[in-house]
Amino acid sequence: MVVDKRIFSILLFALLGVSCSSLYKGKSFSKVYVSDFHSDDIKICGPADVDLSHAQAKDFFVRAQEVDSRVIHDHYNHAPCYIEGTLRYQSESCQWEIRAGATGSIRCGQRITYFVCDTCDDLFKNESL
Amino acid sequence: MTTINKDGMLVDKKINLRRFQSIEHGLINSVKAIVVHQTDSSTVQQAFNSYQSGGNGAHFLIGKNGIIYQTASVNKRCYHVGRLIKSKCLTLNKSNCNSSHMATISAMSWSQQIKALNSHERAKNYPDRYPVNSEAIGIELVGSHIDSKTYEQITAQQNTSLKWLVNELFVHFKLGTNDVYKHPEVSYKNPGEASTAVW
Repeated sequence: MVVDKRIFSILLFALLGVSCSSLYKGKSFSKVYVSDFHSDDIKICGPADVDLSHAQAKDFFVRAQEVDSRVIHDHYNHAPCYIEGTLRYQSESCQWEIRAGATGSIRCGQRITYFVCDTCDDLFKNESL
Repeated sequence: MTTINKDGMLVDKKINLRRFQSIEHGLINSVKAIVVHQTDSSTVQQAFNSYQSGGNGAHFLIGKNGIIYQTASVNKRCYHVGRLIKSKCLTLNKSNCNSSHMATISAMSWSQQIKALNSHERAKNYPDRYPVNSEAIGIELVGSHIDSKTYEQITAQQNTSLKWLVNELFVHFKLGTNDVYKHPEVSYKNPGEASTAVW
């Protein structure tokens, strides 16, 4: 009986661990819309650097992995321009941001989750070149 | 006045020696600059835990209470600047830039541009370009990011300790105020990082 309880506890902690490591399990995002573009330095980072359609923005978050902010801080470049918009996740309305450096974030209420996508180069191709 | 021992550790009662060889990656050529960072963590212990697991880190860490830790030898190279450096001439003095080459680079997409600028800049010597890991000492200040443009305010105690430490390093390595940079000046980082640091 004691062993059963231990096994149950281990399974419970394992399940909690899995669910905590990925807030957006399954990534069933809907109504992903691009609403605006912003640049802190338009001379080096313009609309063509992050020119994603609604469908591509959804694709970015589906393909991207959730990371701690420190991973972005240590290993990714902070692009000065980004697109932003809204999406729905499990009936909650959220705001998102995708930067030209293939990093992004989703804010649902007070909770903010960070993403990086190492396989999204095709979404950021500058067609003008 | 601090002294530097044979292991590259600064000896002074104001500095706590907590060396993590896990964040040292080969030798530093010669110290030519200092880069000031914020950790994106809220405690000293969180930064130590990260250093323990290896990878990125800097030579010094200053807690919110102003306590200074030396976390790597000043003879050793740490990964703290980043792989891609910005263009110093584009930022500070456009007349120093090779205009034809720069025109080609500036026509590229942002992600291509930052790689091309890095290649272009690394062909120069410091101080004509921003410093790289092999010539820069890193100082981390404990503090988390708030959003994509801001970090926690650096405490008065941190700035007092930073000022003292920077002045010690100036003397040891014959550096000047022009040789100290905030991390986002040098590479592509959250512009709020170390923005409230003063020295």
